Amino acid sequence: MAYVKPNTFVNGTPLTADDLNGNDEALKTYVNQEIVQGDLDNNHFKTQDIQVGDYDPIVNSYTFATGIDTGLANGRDPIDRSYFTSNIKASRQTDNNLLVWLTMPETAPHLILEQDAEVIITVGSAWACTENDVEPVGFWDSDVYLTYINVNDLRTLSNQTYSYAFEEAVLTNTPAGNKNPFGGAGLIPDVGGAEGPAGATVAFAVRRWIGFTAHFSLTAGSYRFAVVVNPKVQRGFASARVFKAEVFYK
Amino acid sequence: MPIVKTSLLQDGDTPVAATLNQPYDDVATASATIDNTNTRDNWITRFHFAGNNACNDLYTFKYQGTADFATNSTSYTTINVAGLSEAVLNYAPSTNEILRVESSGIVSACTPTISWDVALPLADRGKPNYYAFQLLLTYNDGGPSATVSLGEWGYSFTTASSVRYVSASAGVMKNTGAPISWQTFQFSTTLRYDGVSGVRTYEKISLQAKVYDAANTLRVSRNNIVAVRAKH
Repeated sequence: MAYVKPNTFVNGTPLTADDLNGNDEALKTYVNQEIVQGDLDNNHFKTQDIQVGDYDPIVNSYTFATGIDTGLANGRDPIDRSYFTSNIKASRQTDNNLLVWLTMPETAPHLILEQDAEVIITVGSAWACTENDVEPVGFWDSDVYLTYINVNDLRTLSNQTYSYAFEEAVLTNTPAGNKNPFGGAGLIPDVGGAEGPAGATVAFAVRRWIGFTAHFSLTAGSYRFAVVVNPKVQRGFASARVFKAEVFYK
Repeated sequence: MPIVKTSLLQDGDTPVAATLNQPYDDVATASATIDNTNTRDNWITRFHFAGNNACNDLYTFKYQGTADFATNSTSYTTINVAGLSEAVLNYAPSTNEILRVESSGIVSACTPTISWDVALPLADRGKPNYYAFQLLLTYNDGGPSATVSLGEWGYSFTTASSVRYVSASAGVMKNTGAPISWQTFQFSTTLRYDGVSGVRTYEKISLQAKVYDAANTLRVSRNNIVAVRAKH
């Protein structure tokens, strides 16, 4: 409510300390703690009036009044590649049931949510899995997910992001339990035949761009996001990568 | 409100009521409309915003399972795996308000039976190899609801070039390319509302798909829609 003057001065009436102090005290109280939303002029404040955010160049994160924005964009040069390997799984490198999640570097922001928020993660990256030379060859599908670890250290695989990076092999079938990168029931169509693609075309066809947008409603707390892969090839990598995390405070 | 001024009194002056009342009356009158003349820059923090979703609001749809939706329709059909892929909005935008929409998903095992053209016209070359998605906004200005496409995004069933065709006399098709399944799709767009505030109601956004030749079957598994309303 707007300021109300408690005392009115009148000509010819002695000025009292109480009246003067009363007006000043009410004014002080109003200015210090009683300005409310209704006192503010509508449609007058602009973005310059909103608190300026903080930019952290180390992790490329911008925190501002209504949320957080962080991410990266890497090119496709070899030096930008992020490699992964199934060698860490020893004798079960292509096992469909042994899940070992490797975190892809530069896709793992640590978001500290000061209050409940909506979070959007946008990812796009080029994935390549070269043909195995020691392990069996077979269009192996390396599962790719976005995950996050919450304040309780529980990892959540986001099912709205599951994707597959396929081995670049030249074969005619796909191992049991793996997704067939060409669809169908297992056989790819007529490799090298009269109407079919050449082997190199087949290999190149399994080099995929993986992109997804994921949304989460999260409570206040600390979260570690990451793009992870369960590798089934001895050498794979993600080259060009775009990763963006946006926090919208409720 | 303007900056409040006070009269300067000097020794020996006899104050009059108008002089004494002036600063208090000015504050009383003007404090009903405080503007940025009276505030310092950057004073508004998150805690000054009115309640939840004061600045922006999100509307989503998610299907996160592994079943799929199959279509060989050559006209757009709303994806329906375990329910229609629709983000319900139901709000009336203000003038110049921006709506940002993102969508993503994965196609599962597709069946591209025909990825080449078997006939002219030239303008249709390559079309059988395509499938496409559309984000469709349903809105209401009073009366029956209407729709507007927010954009279309196309993909290829195979690695084949899109400009090949085979005429009836051209013989056997060569090098059809490798079919592509389990491929992610992802796109986004924005929409600005230029009408009068409160007149139009955005009802929902649907994710739709179609093929360009009914002999081909597109299958879509997980998919989602995220719509961000930037209020102002």
